[in-house]
This record gives sequence, C-alpha cells and structure tokens, in this order.
Amino acid sequence: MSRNAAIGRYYPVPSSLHDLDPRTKLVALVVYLVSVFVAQGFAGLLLPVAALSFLMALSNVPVKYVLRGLKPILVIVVVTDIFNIFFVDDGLKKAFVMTLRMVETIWGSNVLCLTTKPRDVSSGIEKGFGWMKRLGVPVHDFATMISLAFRFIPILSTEASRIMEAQKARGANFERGGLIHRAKALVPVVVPLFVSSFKKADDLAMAMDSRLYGSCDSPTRFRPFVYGHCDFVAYSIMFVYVVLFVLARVFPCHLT
Amino acid sequence: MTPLIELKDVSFSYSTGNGSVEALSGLNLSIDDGSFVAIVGSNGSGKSTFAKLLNALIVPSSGSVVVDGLDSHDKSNVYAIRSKVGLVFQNPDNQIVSDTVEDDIAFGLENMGLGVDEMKRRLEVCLSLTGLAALRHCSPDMLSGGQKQLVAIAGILAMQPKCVVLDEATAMLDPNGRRMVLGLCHRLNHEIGMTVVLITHHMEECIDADRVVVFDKGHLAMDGTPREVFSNAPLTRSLGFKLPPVTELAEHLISSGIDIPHGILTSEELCSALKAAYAREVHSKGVHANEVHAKGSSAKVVHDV
Ligand SMILES: Nc1ncnc2c1ncn2[C@@H]1O[C@H](COP(=O)(O)OP(=O)(O)O)[C@@H](O)[C@H]1O
Ligand SMILES: [Mg+2]
Repeated sequence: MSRNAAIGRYYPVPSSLHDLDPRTKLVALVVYLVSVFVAQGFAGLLLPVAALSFLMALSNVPVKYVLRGLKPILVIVVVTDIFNIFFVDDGLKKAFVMTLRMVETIWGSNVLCLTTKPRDVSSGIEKGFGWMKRLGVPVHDFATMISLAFRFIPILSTEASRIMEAQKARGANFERGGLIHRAKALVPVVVPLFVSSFKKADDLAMAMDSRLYGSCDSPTRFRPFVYGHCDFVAYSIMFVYVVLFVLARVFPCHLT
Repeated sequence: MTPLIELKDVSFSYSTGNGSVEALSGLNLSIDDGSFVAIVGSNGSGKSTFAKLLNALIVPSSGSVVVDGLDSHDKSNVYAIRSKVGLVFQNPDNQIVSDTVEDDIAFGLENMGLGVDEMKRRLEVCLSLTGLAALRHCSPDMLSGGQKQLVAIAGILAMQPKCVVLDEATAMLDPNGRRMVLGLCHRLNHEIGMTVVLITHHMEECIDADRVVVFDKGHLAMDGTPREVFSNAPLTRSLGFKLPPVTELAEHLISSGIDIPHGILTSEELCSALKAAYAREVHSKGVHANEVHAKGSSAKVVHDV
C-alpha cells in the first residue's frame, strides 16, 4: 500500500532530521526552494544538491526510497528535455538547468515529507501563517484539510486497487491496448472511486463535527512546538548555506 | 433511574431533490442514565437518523430532543450536547483523523482547547480503559478493524461524555473485532456507568442489553427487555429481523412440540429448560424406557449445537 503512494509518505525512522521542529524544516524548505529558483551558474546549481545529499545522509531514510519519489516527474522531465534540446536555442544547457531545478524541487519536498508527519507539516504551516488569521483567513481549516488529504491518500489508493481488482474479475483489462483504450478502461474505476470518496468525506465531516471540531476559537495542540538545540544548529546551517549561496551568486562561474 | 436523553414527539424529514423523505415520525423515547440500550431495525428504518439526533448533528423537524436538560433546538447547546453524547460510526477508516493513535484520541481535546497536561492526563485514562496503551504510537493503518473502532471509542471517551452511541460500529468487523468492541461497551457500562446506545444488526449483541428497542419505518415498533422482545417471535419476524440463534432454535423446538418457554436467550437457559421439560415428561407420563432414551439423546444433540 505505502509502495504505490511513495509521494508524501512519512518514513518513520529515528534521525536528527525527524526530530527537528516542523517549523524549522518548513523554513529550511522555503530557503532551499528560493535558492533553487534564483540559482545561477554552476556552483549555484550544485549547492542545493550538496545540501540535499547532506540532509539525506542525516535522515536515515534509504536512498532508494527517496529516489522512488522522483519517479512521477520523470515523464515531465523527459518531455521538457526533448522539447528544449530540439526546439530551443542553446537547448542542451537549458534542458540541463531545467532538469536539475525540477529534480531539486521535488527531491527537497520529498525529504521534508519523508521526515515529517503530515499532521506536523500542516500544523507547521498553520503556525507559520497564523498571522493571516487576523485577516479572516481560515488558516486552521486549511491546515486540517492538508493533513486529512495526506491521511486519505493511502486509503483511497487501496480503495482504487480494490475497485480495479473487482473490475478485472469482471474481465476489464487495464494493461493492454492503446492510450485511449486504457483511459476508457479507467472510467469504471474512477466513477466508483468518486462516489466512495464523497461518502468518506461526508462521514468524516460528521465524525469531526461530533468531536467538536470548530467549537473553540483557539484549538490547542497535543504536541506543542518547542525549539530544541538541534533547531538552533539547523538555523545556523541554514545561515551558512545562505551565505555560501550569496557568494556563489556574486562570483558566478558560468557554465559556458 | 433518571432519564439522560428524552425525545418527545420527534419527527425528522430529509429534504431531497423531489420532495422530502420522512425518516422518523412521532417518536417518543427516553434513555435512562447508565443504561445499555440496543437498537435494531431493518435498513432504512431510521436508526442512523436517530443516532444523529442524539448528538445534535441534526435537529428534529418537529418535537424536541433534550440531552441532560439541554434542548438541541437551542443553538448555544449544540457543542455541550456533542460533548455529552459521543458517536461512533460504521466505517472505522472514515472517522480517524490523525496519523497516530495518541494524536487521534487527542483530536477532540484539541478542538475543546484543553491544556497539554489535561490532555495527557485524559489520554492515559482512555488508553488504560480501552487497553490501547501498547499501540499508542502506532499508525491507524497498521491496526485491525476492531482496534480502529477502539481508537474511535477512546477518542470519544477522552471528551468525558455521559453516553456513547455506536451506529452499527460492529458491522464491518470480524467476530474477534466485534467481541473486542462489545466487551469494551459492557465494561464501560459496568465500571464507569457509561450510558451505551448500541445500534446493530447482530441480534446476539442485544442479549446482554438492559433494553431492546425495535424501529420499523421510522416508528417505534417494540420496546422492552431482550426477553420480552425476543419472546414475541411472530412480531419480530414480521418486522423483518432474525432472532438470536439460540432463541431461533428454541422457537423451532417449541413449534415441534417441546414444552419450553418462549424468549430463551442463552444456551445455558436452553439447556436447563430442556432438562426441566424432560424431567416433567418422565415424571408425569411415566414413559417407556426406550422412548426416554430417544428423547434424552435428542436433547443432547440440541445441547451440542
Ligand atoms: N441524507 C439523506 N438524504 C435523504 N434521505 C435520507 C438521507 N439519509 C437517510 N435517508 C432516508 O431516511 C430513511 C432512514 O434512513 P437511516 O436513518 O439511515 O436508516 P437506517 O440507519 O436504519 O438504515 C431512509 O428511507 C433513507 O433513505
Ligand atoms: Mg444506518
């Protein structure tokens, strides 16, 4: 079950990365993503890779598992690469930069998801965007929505494979035929899946209502956020990273 | 005993695209504090509607539902009612919101805005009541169906309700899971005086209840002790549900001419009733030895069943 939903799956192993406060990890992700997108030059592009390799070593999550999370973007990467290489001036270089950026983005987000419980990710977001509550934005509800979405990914993917088995037993074939044939074969899977997700959403809403969701203006947290000294170390490393990055930006060594 | 929940002349209609469906009509019922009430009835008879009314998830179209003195029509009472009456649903996957057992139990408490120390204190109590302490750090995905329902019950217990309503909460479980959930309900009822409303399709789950209420097409069809309800075999059959297996067997024996009382619920009762019937027969008729032998052995077969 957890195999076919490798994106966003928490990988529970003890590690210093797992123990970090989710706020720290979210800030790190933002710093990292900004660096990926403003990167220029060879050093600028490779710095995020170096940082990620370091984080992966810290995380104790098997490399294989992290890389599996990159599979879904493989198609997009290949298509844009072909497009760039054949139709764009200086395409090879652009394709290289683009590929690196996409891989770095997904890879980085994966490292966060693998080492942080979905509920912590969403609470971290809630905390980070807490100031928007004063503007009337329902931050708590958004955060809850995100964590529920994470919880229901494996449940719905199990449901989908169950429906597919049932349709196979009735003679459906999802492996053979052209693209259109296969897409058509999926219709009797998607429709019942929609119906059952609505039912689930309805049940879940009732269960949450009956457990007093929304009854209190300031819901509390069972696991309050506390910064440990690991977090201070992490912020220091981030600072060094930013400095290195700015240096790489100021003194670029260009690809060509 | 004092009533905890009182329904007076309750009707409820769902509005649908083409008109409205009356799910309950003119229901009068009160549930005593500390009692164990089983609710049965065929599909669509209004059991789930009834459950949602108790919890103020819906309010009656007419009539009133009063929980511990609080009328559900009054909007300011809604959250207080929900904290007094907890609801457990049929599908365990659709009611667990968090990714560990502990966090899920704490969900209701977070919503109530309690402090961390109070949450921890209540969590420990619930874990020990439900026997989930060893699984506290587990992800719900790793639990069996029965264990998931225990988590759902624990999450409700943490809110310290007076009553737990289980809407076919055992329907999707294997026999072992059903035993776990039912055992917990009875323990809560005996040990901490929790009021339990158990909606079920399994008649054998009603046997140990204080009271069985039968719904039929949105009306109250029968109401009494399990013995009173199940001794009226013709009426229960016409309402479209089966008797508990042992009662069913006893009714067959009665209709084939064996002199035992109606409304037998357990195999122990059936045994002693058969023994008594056998003794009466031997005593009054002075039957032939070989006949006695034949009757004795048929009684024994029955016992083994
Ligand atoms: N959301 C709904 N909208 C319209 N009709 C409903 C809805 N829920 C239940 N009903 C109808 O109300 C009646 C009682 O349903 P319900 O309380 O779910 O019965 P039970 O739980 O005993 O099977 C049924 O006829 C059902 O079709
Ligand atoms: Mg129902």
